Amino acid sequence: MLSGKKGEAVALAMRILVKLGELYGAKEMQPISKAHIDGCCYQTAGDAGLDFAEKLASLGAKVVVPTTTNVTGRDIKRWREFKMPEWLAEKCQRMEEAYTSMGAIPTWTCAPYLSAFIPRFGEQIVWAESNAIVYVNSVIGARTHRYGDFVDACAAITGRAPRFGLHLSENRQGEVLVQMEDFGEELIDDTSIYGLLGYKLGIILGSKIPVIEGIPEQVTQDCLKALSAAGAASGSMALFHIIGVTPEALSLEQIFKKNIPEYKIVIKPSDLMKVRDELDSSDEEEVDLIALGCPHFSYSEFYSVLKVLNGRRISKKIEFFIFTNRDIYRALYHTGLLSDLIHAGIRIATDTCILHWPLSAWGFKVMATNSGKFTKYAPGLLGLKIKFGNIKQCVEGAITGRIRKI
Amino acid sequence: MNNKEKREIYPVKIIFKGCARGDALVTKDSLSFWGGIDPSSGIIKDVHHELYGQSIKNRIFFFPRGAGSSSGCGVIMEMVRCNTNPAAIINIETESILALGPIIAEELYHRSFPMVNIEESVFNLIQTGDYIEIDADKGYLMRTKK
Repeated sequence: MLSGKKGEAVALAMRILVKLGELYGAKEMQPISKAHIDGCCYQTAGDAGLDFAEKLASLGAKVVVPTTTNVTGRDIKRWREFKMPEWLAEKCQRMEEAYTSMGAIPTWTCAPYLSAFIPRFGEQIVWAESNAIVYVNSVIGARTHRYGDFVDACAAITGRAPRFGLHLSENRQGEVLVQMEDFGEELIDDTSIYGLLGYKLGIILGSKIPVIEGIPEQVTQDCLKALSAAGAASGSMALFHIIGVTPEALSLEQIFKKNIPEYKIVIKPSDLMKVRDELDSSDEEEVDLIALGCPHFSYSEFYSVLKVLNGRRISKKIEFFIFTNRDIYRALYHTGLLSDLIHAGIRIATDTCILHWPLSAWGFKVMATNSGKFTKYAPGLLGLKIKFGNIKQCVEGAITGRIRKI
Repeated sequence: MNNKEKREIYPVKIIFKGCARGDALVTKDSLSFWGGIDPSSGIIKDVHHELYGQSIKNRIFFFPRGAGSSSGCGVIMEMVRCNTNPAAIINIETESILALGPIIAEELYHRSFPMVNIEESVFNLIQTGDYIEIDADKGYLMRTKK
């Protein structure tokens, strides 16, 4: 492949993969069976990202394994409704076309684990998008290193990746024991608790692999999604284990390297309330934007929103955006939930993420969210103050225009 | 004491080759390039970061390790394209997401910047304002105290 016999695009991609492998001590290349491309959003790397994608496309690159796409910079159908400037939508379209011309499947989602092409346990894959990496490694047990943008496309068009890092069993064992103490039933389904937990663990642990004990077996997928996203945003989490929940953590003895943790930490509700207070960057209770769906909202999360709404409509002074993928949007349509949500005054966007949008045309000041990842990035990227709350607090806030701390 | 006596030389592990010199900008905080730096100016915009508001353009930028988004590599590429990149990046440990930045920038634009790793004990000695010369081809870093 390096020689150029399979074309210049494959040679370029292989050069990048080989350099990466050499740097991190990989002994060989291995075949992979799926890829998820994160480098397809124009706004993340601007014209450099577009240069890379169009260069590969113009060299005739084609993906050789099933390859899904992460969010693009716009809602492909409704970008005008969300006040996106024409020039930006055009750049996004060029980026989308470059990757679809290579044969990538246009899923445009940061939660590819909620849709088609979900890998199986133990499968060797190359995924980029930090939350998806954590989720697929931890909850599904497929194997990807923490890849960055663009190497994802290199792997997709060669079908290869260096065999190093989290592709190897010996690097997937736990390092730090995290014990949850004094929590109640909220640990089953309050996703905001997991956003705070992920945020805290990302900061203290960096890339160390935590083994978490004390989480109920009934914990929802949505909670694990929130944990994945926040841990990868505040630190560089790529894999966690939860005893009794995730597939590689069969027992405390088996999951640690040499059967013992390097050290142990205890997390209590008061620790997480401290994190929330640090993240809450607005002293006022008033909010003008509610944004949910980071990572992309699942069907069950939409269902929770409707349950809290219970037929009520949101305040006319508030914008309420929820981000999701097209599969879930279709499911909402077919089951009638979509019309209930729209009737309540909620705007649903697909294919994209608010973090990439220019929001100056809206004039928002304070955003409320349940997402640890939005909380980390929105002040810097969007210039907004943040109120952090769970789904119930956010929905009540959409009705009253205020978010009250419990 | 003359300048020569104040110089110290340390070995480095090469992530990406090249030579650079300039003033050190040092932080003990990890940093997510995506969402943390504005590539059009090189200014740190993560409000939670201790260097919020400062520019890394043309500096010898010391931070212990990367964090956060897998788009960090693309931000480095865009900084090279916009000429806002640091003169060099020095980490204790560079994770693969950032290491790809200079590699792919070189493929696209035929220019890039050195990236190296140093021992934690050396990292802890360096202070903002120190004059740093790096030869990542030969594998050393020279520090002149401010």
